Amino acid sequence: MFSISALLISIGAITALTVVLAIILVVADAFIADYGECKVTVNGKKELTIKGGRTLLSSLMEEEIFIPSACGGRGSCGLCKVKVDSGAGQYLPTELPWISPEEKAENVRLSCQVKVKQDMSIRIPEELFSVKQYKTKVDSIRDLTHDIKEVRFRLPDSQTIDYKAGQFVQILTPEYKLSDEQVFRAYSMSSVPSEKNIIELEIRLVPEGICTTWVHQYLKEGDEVTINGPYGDFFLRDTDRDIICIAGGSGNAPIKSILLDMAEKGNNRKVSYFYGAQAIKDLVLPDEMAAISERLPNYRYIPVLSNPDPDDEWDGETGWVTDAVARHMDGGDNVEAYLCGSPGMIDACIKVLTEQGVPEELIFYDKFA
Amino acid sequence: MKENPAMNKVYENMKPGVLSLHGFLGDDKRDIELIIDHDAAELESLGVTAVEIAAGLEKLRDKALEGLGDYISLEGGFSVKANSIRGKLPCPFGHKGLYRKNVVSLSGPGIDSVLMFTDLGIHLVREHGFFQGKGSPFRLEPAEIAGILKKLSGDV
Amino acid sequence: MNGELLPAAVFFGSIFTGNILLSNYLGMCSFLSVSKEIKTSTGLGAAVIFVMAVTSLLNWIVYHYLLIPLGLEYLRFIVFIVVIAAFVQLVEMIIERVSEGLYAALGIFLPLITVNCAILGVSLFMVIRDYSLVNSFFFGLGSGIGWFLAIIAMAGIRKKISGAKIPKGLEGPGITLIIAGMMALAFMGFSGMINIT
Repeated sequence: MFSISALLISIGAITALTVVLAIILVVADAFIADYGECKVTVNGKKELTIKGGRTLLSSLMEEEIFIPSACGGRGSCGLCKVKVDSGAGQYLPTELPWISPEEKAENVRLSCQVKVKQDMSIRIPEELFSVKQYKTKVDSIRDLTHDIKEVRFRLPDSQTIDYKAGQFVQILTPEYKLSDEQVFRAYSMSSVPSEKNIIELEIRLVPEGICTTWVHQYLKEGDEVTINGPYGDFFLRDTDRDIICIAGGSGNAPIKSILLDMAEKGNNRKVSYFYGAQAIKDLVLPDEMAAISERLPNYRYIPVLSNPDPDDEWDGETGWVTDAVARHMDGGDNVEAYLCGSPGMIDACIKVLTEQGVPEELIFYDKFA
Repeated sequence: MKENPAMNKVYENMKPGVLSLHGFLGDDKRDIELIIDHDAAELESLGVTAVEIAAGLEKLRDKALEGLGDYISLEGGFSVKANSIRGKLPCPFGHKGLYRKNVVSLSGPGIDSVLMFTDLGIHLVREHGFFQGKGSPFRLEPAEIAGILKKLSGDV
Repeated sequence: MNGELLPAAVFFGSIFTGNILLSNYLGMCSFLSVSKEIKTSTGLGAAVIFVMAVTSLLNWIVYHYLLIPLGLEYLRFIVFIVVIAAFVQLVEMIIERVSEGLYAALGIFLPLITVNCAILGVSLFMVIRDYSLVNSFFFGLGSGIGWFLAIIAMAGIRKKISGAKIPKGLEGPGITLIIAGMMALAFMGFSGMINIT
C-alpha cells in the first residue's frame, strides 16, 4: 500500500524537480551564456565576425588565424600571446604567471584564456596571416643518424605552403599510447621552399619528448598529420656579405633549407657551413651537405667532430666547433652569421664571432627557445 | 585533500602527456604534499637542504652545458651531458616563468645506467622541495643525489 | 520548538555561539585545504556566505511548499543537494557574464562549494530547528559569515605558524585540526549568550 504509490510519488517529485532545474539551467545557458556575434578587429584592418563565448585562441583558429601554442589552449605553455587593445576585460589569474610587467603595460594577453564576449580589437604579428593549417600525409621516413629521423609530409593536392628557407612549422601530436593529450611542437623545415607541396623535417629523438617519441616510435608512412606554419624570423637576409652558418644536432634542418634555396636561386655569396657533432655517426647527411658545393660555387662544408670514435677514419676538423670557426675565419667585417642549435652552443658561437669582428646585429639565430 | 582548486590544477599539470611524456608523479600514489614531506624528512636526516641540492644540480648543469651536447668527464669517474631541446616548460605548480629544456644526464659509479634532471627539475627541488614521484624518469632520490653531489663537491 | 526566536538572535547566534564550522565541524575538508592563504580563504569564504544565504532561502521554500504538501520530507537530502548544485551552476554562469573580476575572485570556488557539507548542513539544521523563512535566511547568512570568520582566522594563524617548528607527524592537516579544536574551545566561550537550537 505504502510502497508503490509513495515510491511513484517520490520518484515523480524528484524527476519533476530535477527536470525543472535542468530546464532553468538550459534556458539560462542559452540566454546568459549567449554573447551573440562579436566583431574582432585584427591589426586595425581585418574585421572578423565571431560567435561569442569561446576563447580568443580557438575563435581565431576557426577563422584560420593560427597563434602559436604548444599546449593546445590549456594555459600551460604561455606561448599564445596577443596584444588586445580593447574588449578583453581584466587579467585572469590563469594568465598572470605568464605576463611580465612590460607585457602588461602593452596589454599582452594569453589568447587561450581570454574569452570573446564583446567587440575586441587585437594586434598580432603580420606574418601570422600567412600561417595556415594543413592536413598532411607522411610521405617518407628515413634515419639520418641513430637519433635523428627525416620525415617528409605531403600536403593535400589543393594546398601549397609559402615560406622563407629557415622558418619552422608546428606539428600536432595526437593522443597516442603514451600520451592522452594533444600538443603542438615546433620544428624547422629542411625542405626547399620551391617544393610547395612538401614539408620536410629533421626530428631528433628527445628522451621523454612527447612529440619526438611519437614521431620516432609510432609514426608510419601514410599517416595523417596536422601541421601549421610557417613561423619565425630565422631566414637569409638579402645582403652581399659572406655567410657563416653554424649548427649542431638537429640544427642542420634550417641551414640545409637555406643552402638548397641559395643553390636553386644561383646565389654566389661565399658560404661556410660548420656542423658540430660528436662522432661520424652523429653527422647529419654528410655526403649530401658536402655535395651542395657542386651547385653552390662558393660553398664550403666543414664538419667538426668533438670526440670521434676510435674506429672513425677522420681527417677533418676536430675539437669544439667554435674553435674551428675561429681557425677558419680571417676577420669578420664582411660576415653575417646564421646559427642553429642549443642555447649553450649559440652563446659560445656569438662570443667567437664577435671576437672576430662580426657585428652582433648581423648574427641571426634559432635558439631552440 | 585534493579539494583546493589550485592544487587540482597542479595534479592535472603533473599527469602524463600534459607537460611531459610520463608526467611528474610516476606511479607514486601518494599526495604531492606527502611526497614533499617524506623527501624533506630524508633530507633533514642527511643534513642537507633542498636549496643546497638545487645549487649543486645547477652547477652540474652549467658544467654539462660546456660540453655542447657531449659528455664531460668529472672526478670520481662521473660524467655529465646536457641535451638542449627546443621549447620551454612551465612550472606545474603555476609559478611564473618558463624553464629551458636542458636535459642533463649524469652517469658514474653507483648510478644505475643514468640519472636525468632538467632545468624545471632544479626549480622544483629548490622552490618546492619536490623531487618528483617514484617512477618518474626525472625522480631524484634525495639520499642518492646528495651523496653524489658530496663526492663531486670538489669538481662542480 | 521555539518559533519565537528573533532573526537578529539567529543571525548572531549562528555566527558566534553556534558557528557551523567550529561547533558542528562541518565544511571541514575545504576549510583544511584552502586555509593556507588568506587571499584564497577570503574568496572561498565570501562565496560560502552568498551561497549559504540564498540556498537556505530556496531550500526553505522547496521544503515547505513542495516536500511537506507531498509528504516527501524524507527526500530532503537529495532535493537540497540538487537545488544547491543547480543554484551554484546558475550563479557561476551569471557571474561570468556580469563581472570578470568577481568571476576571477569567486568563480573558481563555486564548484567547490557545491559539495561543501556546511551548505547542506545549514539547510538541514533549518528544517530540524523549524525556523521560519526569515529566520532561515538569517541563519544561512550568519552561518556563512561564521564560516568566513573561522577560515580567515585559521588562514591568519597558519600564516603565523608557517615558520614554526612543528613535530614531523603533526605537520599539515594534523596541526590544523588541533588549531581548529582550540578555536572551537574559544568560541565555546560565547555559548552562554544566545541559544538558537
